[in-house]
Amino acid sequence: MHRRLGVLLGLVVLAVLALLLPQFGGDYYVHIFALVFTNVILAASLRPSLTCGQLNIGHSAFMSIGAYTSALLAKNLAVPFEISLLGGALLATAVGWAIGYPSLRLRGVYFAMVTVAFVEVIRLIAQLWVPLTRGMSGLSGIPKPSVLGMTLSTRTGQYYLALVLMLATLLVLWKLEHSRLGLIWRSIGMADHLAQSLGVNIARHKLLAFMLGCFFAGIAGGFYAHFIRFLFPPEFGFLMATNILVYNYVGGRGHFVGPIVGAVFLSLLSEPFRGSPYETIFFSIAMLLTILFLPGGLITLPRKLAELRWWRTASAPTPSPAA
Amino acid sequence: MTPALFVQSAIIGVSLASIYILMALGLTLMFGMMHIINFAHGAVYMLGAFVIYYVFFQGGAPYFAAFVASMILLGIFGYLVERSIYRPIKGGIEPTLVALIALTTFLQAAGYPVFGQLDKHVPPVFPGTRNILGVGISIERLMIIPLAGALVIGLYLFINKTRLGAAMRAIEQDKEAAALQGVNVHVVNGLAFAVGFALAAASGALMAPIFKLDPMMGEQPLLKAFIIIILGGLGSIPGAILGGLMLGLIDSIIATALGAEPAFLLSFVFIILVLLFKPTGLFGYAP
Amino acid sequence: MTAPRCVRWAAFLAVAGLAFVGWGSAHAADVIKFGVSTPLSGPAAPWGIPHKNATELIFDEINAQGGLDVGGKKYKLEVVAYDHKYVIAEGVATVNRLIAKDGVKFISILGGAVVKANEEAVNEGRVLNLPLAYADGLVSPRNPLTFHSFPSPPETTTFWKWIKQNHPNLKRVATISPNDDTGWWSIKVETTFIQKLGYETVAKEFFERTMTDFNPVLLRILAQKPDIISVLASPAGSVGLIIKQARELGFKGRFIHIGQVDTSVVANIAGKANVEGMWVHGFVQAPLPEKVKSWQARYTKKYGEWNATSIDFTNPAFAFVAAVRKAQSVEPKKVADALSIVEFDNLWGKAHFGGKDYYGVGNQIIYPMPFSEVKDGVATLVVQLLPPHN
Repeated sequence: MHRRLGVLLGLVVLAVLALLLPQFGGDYYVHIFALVFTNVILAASLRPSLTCGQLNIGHSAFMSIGAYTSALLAKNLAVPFEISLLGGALLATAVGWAIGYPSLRLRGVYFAMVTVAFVEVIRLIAQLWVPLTRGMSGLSGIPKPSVLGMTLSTRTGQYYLALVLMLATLLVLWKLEHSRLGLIWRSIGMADHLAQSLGVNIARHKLLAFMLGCFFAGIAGGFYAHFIRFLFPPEFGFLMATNILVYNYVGGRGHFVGPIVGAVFLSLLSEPFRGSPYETIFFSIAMLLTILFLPGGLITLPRKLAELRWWRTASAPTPSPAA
Repeated sequence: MTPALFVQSAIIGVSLASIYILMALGLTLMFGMMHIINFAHGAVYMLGAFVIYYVFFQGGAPYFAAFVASMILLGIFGYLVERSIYRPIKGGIEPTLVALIALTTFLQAAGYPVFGQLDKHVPPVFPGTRNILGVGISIERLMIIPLAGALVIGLYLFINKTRLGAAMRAIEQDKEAAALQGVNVHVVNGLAFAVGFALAAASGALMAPIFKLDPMMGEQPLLKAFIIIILGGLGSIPGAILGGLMLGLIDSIIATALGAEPAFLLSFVFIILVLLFKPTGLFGYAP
Repeated sequence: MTAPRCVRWAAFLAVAGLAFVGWGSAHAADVIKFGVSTPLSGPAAPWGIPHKNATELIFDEINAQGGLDVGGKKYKLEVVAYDHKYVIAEGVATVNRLIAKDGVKFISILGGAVVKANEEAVNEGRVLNLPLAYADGLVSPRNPLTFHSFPSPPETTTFWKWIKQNHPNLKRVATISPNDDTGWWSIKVETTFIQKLGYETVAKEFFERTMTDFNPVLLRILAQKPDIISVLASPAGSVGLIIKQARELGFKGRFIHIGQVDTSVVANIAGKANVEGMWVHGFVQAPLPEKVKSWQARYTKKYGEWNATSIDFTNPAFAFVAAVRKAQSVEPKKVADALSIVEFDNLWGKAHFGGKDYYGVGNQIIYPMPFSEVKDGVATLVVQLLPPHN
C-alpha cells in the first residue's frame, strides 16, 4: 500500500508540473518540452523491441515515414490531423512489417545491420523522391495540428497535444509490458530457446514488438512534422537513430521508466550548453560516463549513491575500545 | 555509355575498391573476433589521417615513418579502448555499441576545436598521373593497390602463421574452449582491438594525401565498410575483399552511367536483398 | 522499482524542471539585442564563426563610441548567438529561443534550409531577419521582414557577362554542385542566365555533400568536353577535391565558383598549380582595398586568426546599424521600412536593398561585388560589378 501511494504521489507531482509548465515556462520551454515528449515517445517505443533482444538501430526511419506521410496527407489532401497522424503511424507499421517479417530470421548484429541500412534507404528515398517530398529543399507549409477541427495555433496548445500523445503512448506500452505479452517478450529476450520450448511463437511476438515500436515512432514523427512544420531528410538519419537507442541505455534497460529518464535527461542536457561550441563534447562525455559507471543506466543512480553512502559509513574507522 | 567510358570507370572502380577493402578489413576482423560492430572505426580512420598531417606534413618526418607511427599510436589507442571500455562492460554487445557511438561522437566533436575548423590537407606523396587506357589515374591512387595488398597479405600471415594469430582464431571459434586451453582471452581481445584500430589508421593514413582531412571524414568510409562487410559476410576476410570489389565497381560504373545517387541507393537495396535472402552475406557463416 | 526510488526520481525531475524554467532572462534597459542563429560547431562552423565574430566586432566598435543614438537615447548593441549545427530542429529551437525567451526583435540566420524552416516563425513573430543564405523563394513579398544580406546567384551571375566579353573563347559549361536546395537553385539560376548569354551547358551533376571521390561523376562530365566547370554552391573542401581529381583525369580548362569559397583551402587541397585561373566571388586576398585591409587588422587583433569569409558577412550588422540610425526607432517594422530606402557603406562601397525587378520585392542587398581570379594560389581582385538588377 505504501509503495503504491509513493508512486501515485510522484506521478501526481509530475503531472501537475507538466500541466502547469506553460503557465510559468514561457513559449521557449513549452517548445523544448514538446520536443522532449516526442523523444520520450520514441525512446519508449523502442523498448518492446529491445526487450525481445532485437537491436534496432534504425528507429528514426519509421519516425521519418510517419512524419512525411502525415505531413503530405495533411498538406496535399487536406486530411484532418487526427487521421493523417494515424495514417502516418499505420504506414510506418506496415513498412515495419515488410522489413521486420523477412528479417526475423536475422539475429543480433545482423538484424542491427539491416536497420542501419534501412535508415539510409529511407533517407535517400526522402531525398530523391523530389516531386513528392521536395527532397533536400525541405518540405514546408505543413499545417499546424488540429483536434476535432480546431487548429492548435499556439505553442501551448501543441505542447498539451504532445503531452497527451506521450501519456497515451506510455499508458499503452506500460499496460502491454505488464501483461502476458510483456512476460513473453522478456522470456524471448532472455533465452530464445526456452521460450520456444514453452510453445511461444517467437517470430510472431518479435514482429509484434517491432511493429508496435514502428507505430509509435510514426506517431512521434507525425507530431514532429506538424510541430516543426519543416521536414528535411537528413534530420532522420543515423544520428537520430542512435540517439533513440542511446536514450534507452543511458536511462537504463531494467525498468519501464529507463527510456523516459534517458530521453528527458539527454534532451535537456544540451540546454545549459546552448551557444557553446562544446555542447556535443559534453553530451558525449556524459553518455560515455553513464555507460561505464552506471551499467544499469541512470535509473540505478539513486541506488548506487545509497550503496556508496552505506559503504562509507560501514568502512568508517570505529573507535578502538583500547583507547 | 561508350566502351571507353566503361573501361575508364572500371579502372577507377578498382582503385576505389582497394580503398574500401582496407577500411573493411579491420572492421570485419573485430567483428569476427568479438561480434562487435566497431562504430568508432570511422573516427579512428580520421585520427590515423591526422597523425599523418601532424607527423609527416607539419613535423617533416618521412611519410612511411609517419604511416607506421599512425598505425602504432592508434593500435595503442585500440588496446586502451579495450582496457577501459570493452573490458569493464564485460563484452556486452549492446552497451559496447552505445559506448563506441559515444566515443565516436566525442572524437568527432572534439576534433573541431583541436584540429581547427577548416578542412586540412596533406601534400601528395606520390605526385603525378599515369595514363592507363586513355584515362589519367594519379600515381598515389595506383599505389594504394599494392599497399592495400601488402596489408591484406600481412594480416593473413599474422592470423594464420603466428601464435597470437592462432590464439585469435581459437577465440573466434570458441571462446570458452580457447580459455580452457590457456589462451588469455583479455590479451587477445586487446590485441584484436589494437590490430583493428591499426588497420583503420592505416587506411586513414593512406587516404590523407588523396582526400581532405576533417573530423567527420570517417563517416562515409565507415558506411561503405559496413556495406562491404554485410555483403561479404560479417567476419570474413575474403568476403570483405569480394564485397569491396563489388561495391567499388558499382559505385564507379553505375555512378558514371546514371549518377552518384542512384549508385548509392542501389548499393543499399542490394544490401537489403542480400541480407533478406542470404543473411550471413556471401562468405559468412552462421554465428 | 521501489516506491522511494520512484519518489526520488519524481523529485529529481521536478527540481530539475523548476531549475530549468527558473532561469529568467534579465532585461537590461537601453540595450538592443541582435540574435544570431548560426552553425558554431560541426562542418559548417567555418561560416558560422565569422558570421558571429563579424557582427560582434562591428557592434563592439559602435559600443566603444558610446553606442547607437536612437531618438536622443544611447543604446548598447548586444549579440545573442546560438549554435544550430546546421540541424533543422536546432535551428527552429534557437530562433524560438531568441524570439520567445530572449525577446530579440532582430535576427540573422545563416544557412538555406534553416532559414527556410524559420520563415514562418520570423513572419509570425514580426521580427526583422537579415539572413545569409542561398535559398529559393527567400526574398519574396511573402517575407516582408526578411532582408537578404548576401549576394545570391541571381546577383553574382553578372560576372558571366564580364567573362563573355573578356574570354570569348569559353563556350561549353559544365556544372557540379551539392544535391540540395542550395545547389539546385543556384544551378537553375546560373544555367538560365548563361544560356541567355549564349553559353552551352553540356553537363549538370549533383553530389552528396559527404562525397570525397568525384571520379565517377567527373568522368561523366569530362566526356562532354567542357571548357569551364562551374562548382557553384560547393563548399571549399569539395571544390578542392573536385579540382584535384578533374586535373588528374586530364581536365585542362578553368573552374568558376560565383558563390563565395575560401580559395586558400581549395588551393591547399587541390595543389596550387591546379587552381590557377579559377574565378570566385567574394573571397578576396589581394590586393585588399583600404577599408578591407583595416577590417582585416581589426578582426585579426580581436580574434587572433584572420578569416576572409568575414568580409562579406559584415553585411547584416552594417545594414542593421544603418537602418536603426535612419529609422531612429527600434521597432522592427520601422527599421524594415528604413532598410528599404537607406544607403549605407559596407566594406566594398555603397550598398542598399533592391532587386524588385527580379524578386518582386526590394529586399536583396545590392553592392559592387568583388570577383577575383586565383593567381599563384592567391585570390586576386579582378573587378567589382553591380548585379544585373538594381
